[in-house]
Amino acid sequence: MDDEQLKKRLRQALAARQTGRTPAFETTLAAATERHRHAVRCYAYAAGAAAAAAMVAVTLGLWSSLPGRSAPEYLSEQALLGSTAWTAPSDVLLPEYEFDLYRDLPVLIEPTQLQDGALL
Amino acid sequence: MRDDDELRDNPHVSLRALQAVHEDLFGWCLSRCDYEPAAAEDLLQQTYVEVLSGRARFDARSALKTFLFGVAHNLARSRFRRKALRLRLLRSYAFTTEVATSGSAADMGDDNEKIWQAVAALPARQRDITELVFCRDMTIEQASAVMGVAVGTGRVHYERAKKALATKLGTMQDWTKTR
Repeated sequence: MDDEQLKKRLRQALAARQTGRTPAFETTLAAATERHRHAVRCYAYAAGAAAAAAMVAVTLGLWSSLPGRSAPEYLSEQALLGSTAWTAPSDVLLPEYEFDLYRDLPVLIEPTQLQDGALL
Repeated sequence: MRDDDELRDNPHVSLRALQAVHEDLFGWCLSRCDYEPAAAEDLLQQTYVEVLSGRARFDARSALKTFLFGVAHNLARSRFRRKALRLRLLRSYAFTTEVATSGSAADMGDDNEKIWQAVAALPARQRDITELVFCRDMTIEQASAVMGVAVGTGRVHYERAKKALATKLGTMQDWTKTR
């Protein structure tokens, strides 16, 4: 079987296989154009959303770094010396943790009576 | 080529040139999608989308037909690989069932179908180059470009495919004569 015969038979076989109608060029092109536009719109939306998210992130960053919000608070010497109250850092765990050292003396469990001139 | 006929993102492509290869391209898309018209139409549209958007840019170094066939081939390979495999499996299963239930295909006297089955039985690249050269009027160089292989490789596939087909179809011809 030579090339020409082979070509002829293959073409016949292909023609029999390809029985469907070719879609109109204009219709296909219109559909492709619409798909392209849709893809462009999607990209635009995605880019817009990314830009908005970036803007929000920048705004939040700027807002949190405003000078009034994170300024360090120094101890006031006057307030410290004018008070006799002291709070241990661990006292935050107690329900009422503030007491005055001079007025509310803690109850000691050790006896304070002397025996032979010395504390027990 | 009219000036307003050119695509904006692909200046070397005109609508008229696209229209000229439209039918051939659809045939190639059908072949890429195992002759499923809906899938082929989708592939054809996607090929046009690639060209319209300029993602696939034609630089006029080859024929437009070669370029478009290459785009469709690559799209089909990347997007329709799984689907085509499923369809092929279904087809092969359906064919086996048919043979088992209704006797041999030869009894049906459909030579074209048998020829096509002989083509389908070839390895993928041999099948592709056979179709491109014999049925789509391409040279081996153009077919190799579409398939993304070197011309030498394409030539080897072509020779092997031709030899295998000639043997199969020759045997079939002899068998038909003796009937």
